[in-house]
Amino acid sequence: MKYLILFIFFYSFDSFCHDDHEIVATPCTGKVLDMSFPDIEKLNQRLEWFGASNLQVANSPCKAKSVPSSSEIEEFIKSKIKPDQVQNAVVNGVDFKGESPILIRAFKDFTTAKDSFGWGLKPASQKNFQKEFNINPECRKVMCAMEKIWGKSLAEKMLLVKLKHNYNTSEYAFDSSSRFEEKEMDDVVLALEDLPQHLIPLGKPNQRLTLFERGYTLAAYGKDSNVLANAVVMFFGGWSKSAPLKRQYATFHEFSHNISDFYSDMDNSPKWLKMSGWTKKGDEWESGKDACFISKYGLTNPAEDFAESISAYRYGSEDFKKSCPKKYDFLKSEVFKGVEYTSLDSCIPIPKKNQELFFTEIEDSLKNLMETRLEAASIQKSCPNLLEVKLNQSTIDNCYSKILKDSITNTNTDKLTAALLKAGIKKSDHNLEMLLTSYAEKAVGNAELAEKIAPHLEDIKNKVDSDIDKIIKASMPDQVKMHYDFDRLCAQEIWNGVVESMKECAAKTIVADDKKWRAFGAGRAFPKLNLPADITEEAKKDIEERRDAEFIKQMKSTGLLDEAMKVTLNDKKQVLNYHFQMAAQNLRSNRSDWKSMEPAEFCTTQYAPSNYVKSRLPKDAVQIPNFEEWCIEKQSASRKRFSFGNKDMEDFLKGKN
Amino acid sequence: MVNKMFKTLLLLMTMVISQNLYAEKSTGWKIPVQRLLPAPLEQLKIKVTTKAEVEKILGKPALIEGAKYYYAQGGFKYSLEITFEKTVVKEFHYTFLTPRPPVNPTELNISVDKLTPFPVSGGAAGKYQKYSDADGELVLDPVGKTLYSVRIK
Repeated sequence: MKYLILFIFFYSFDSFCHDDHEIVATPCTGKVLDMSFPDIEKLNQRLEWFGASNLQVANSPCKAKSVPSSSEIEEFIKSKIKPDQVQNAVVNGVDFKGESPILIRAFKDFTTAKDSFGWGLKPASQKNFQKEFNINPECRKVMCAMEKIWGKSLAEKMLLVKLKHNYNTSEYAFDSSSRFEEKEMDDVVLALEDLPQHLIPLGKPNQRLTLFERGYTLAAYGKDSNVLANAVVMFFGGWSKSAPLKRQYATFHEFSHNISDFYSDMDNSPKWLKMSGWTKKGDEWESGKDACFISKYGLTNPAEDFAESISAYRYGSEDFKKSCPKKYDFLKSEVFKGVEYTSLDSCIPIPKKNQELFFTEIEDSLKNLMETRLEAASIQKSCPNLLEVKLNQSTIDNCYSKILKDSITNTNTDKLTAALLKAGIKKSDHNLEMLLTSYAEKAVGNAELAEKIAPHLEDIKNKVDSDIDKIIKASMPDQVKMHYDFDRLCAQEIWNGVVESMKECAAKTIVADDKKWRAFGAGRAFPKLNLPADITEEAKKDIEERRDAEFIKQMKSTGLLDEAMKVTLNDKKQVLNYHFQMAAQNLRSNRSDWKSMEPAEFCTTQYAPSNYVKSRLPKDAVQIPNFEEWCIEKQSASRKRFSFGNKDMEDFLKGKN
Repeated sequence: MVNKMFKTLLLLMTMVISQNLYAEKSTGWKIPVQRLLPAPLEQLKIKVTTKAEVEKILGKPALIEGAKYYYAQGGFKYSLEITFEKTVVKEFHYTFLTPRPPVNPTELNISVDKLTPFPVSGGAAGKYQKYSDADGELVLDPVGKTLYSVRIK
């Protein structure tokens, strides 16, 4: 028995392992894929792990930016139930009176314990919710009961996800589940809002969509797993710890697998397999040589290829269309039914006629707003992460539309609601944002409106520049330590003895040295740039370059390097002087006929070979200013050769200053 | 001494019981799964059917690699892989085409707790769930609740 218990104990230990790894933004990067085609290796080097970056997700057209409000959800739930259809029922210990059968069904799904995949019931895990949460007699309705269990906000969102998309997010419904935190649930809702209308509802009836037991992952993924989620749908620790936009992307990626299910396993259809020349031998997949992939993750098998392509279509449309046009066109016609995400105009789910009606209704308010100059505070309030999008003109436009939207929402709520209703458009923040963004986008292209908008965009750019300047100033070193190899790297400038060029070279040396060290994580001279986590590499590089240029400018104009340069120059002069004297002494001791040498021979013999400074110059540096010429000229004035004294050398060096 | 003998006996009993359980489970899914296979595949008998018989039942393969025959089906390359040992079938792997047969692990006599995500190689999270034992492997689609592929040894 003891061994049997031990056996069971060890078995159960093997089933789940503790997930205490640190999560990285791009999971599994660096893993070697088991594929041998040289093209795949090249792709592996070029591609990112995921098909779209956080920035692309944030800026993709028709992206839901805020979750539906409580009143919007309530309205949606109301639209789903029929007031004249009510029933009484006891569900898992809770007694409901006069409640909608749809809501009772949802409550039953949320509270009935099933196995991990919803194949069968798990009576051993079944809770009595009345005992656990003391719901009756205070509550006789589902919403009230759910508020007692999950709190109002989470309960509303769970019902929205269930009734609109079929997904069950309850931790009580499936084995090894944990409760979503509010922010996590918001990212699930936002990813669902990004689905095109014709794919709603996407989930199978009562499909799992839960967070896996916190602190644990599946044994198959290994202890150090970076797996964020799977198509069941289960989310793991790595997902929870990821940035919101990464969570939304990963969630949409899993929905993309479900989109394949929606279309009768499209990821296994001969049409899809043909796109990348996928062939299956047993359990192993191989792609064709000329296949086009949008991400490294997509290289793994046709299902991931499909999910990544769908996600890239939704969030990284422009890049995907450019990189893999055949796949793009296939998904456009087969999956997205013509809906594109290349511009707001191509994906906004509101008929054009209704949009125009709305714009006519609020035209005056919008035009008035456009005539008011923007203040830094309103830019900051509406676009707090504007720095992230510094290089992206379209996002500056987006920021403007957000300011416009915020201003108009704050001042004209009633007018907007009335305009939406009059135009026959459903009232929601998402609709409003899309419409105002669309209006601003159109305004940029409209000469009359563009003129009004131009100063606003300039204000935004100025605000961004001012923010960057602040960051750059905070990142300037307060003192320059003289541990750099100026002597060698700036030999030419030091030889020339021009302080300004010496300073510029020294500053560039500091910048170059810092760059070298930054590659290992931290520079030596500059404090870390305080940039947002999600900023693009391109923007980061650009800001660093601006900081470096500003540093060089400051080094030249301030006295920070003056003293250091004077010391360096003086040291160099002394070294040169010493060298010339030593060279002369060596010559005298080696050549007894030195006094009768011709000036040219004397100068060449004395100074050209083994010239100290010359040997210290970089290989590609120009020749040292011509000592030989100067030497010949000086020596020619006398019949006999002579050594240069300190004064001669000083005169020469002065001439260079 | 008696205690040691008792422990050894207990260990042996545990092993026998485990083997029995294993034996029961390992034979549990084969019969129901075989019924789900396309009719020609039902005729394939492990360690019995010869290459010549396979070709008679299924025709010439689309691809031969070493001891393996591959068959394409409806544009799907390759839904069937047959591995031979000498001249007889050692095992075969079949990927179901859509619409795939709906399944319930209970009806296949396998435990949901023994399913593991598949495929997880190369960083993939695994869209499917796999069950393996001495008789072969089953890959299930847990969302569509269907049978995706089977390997029969």
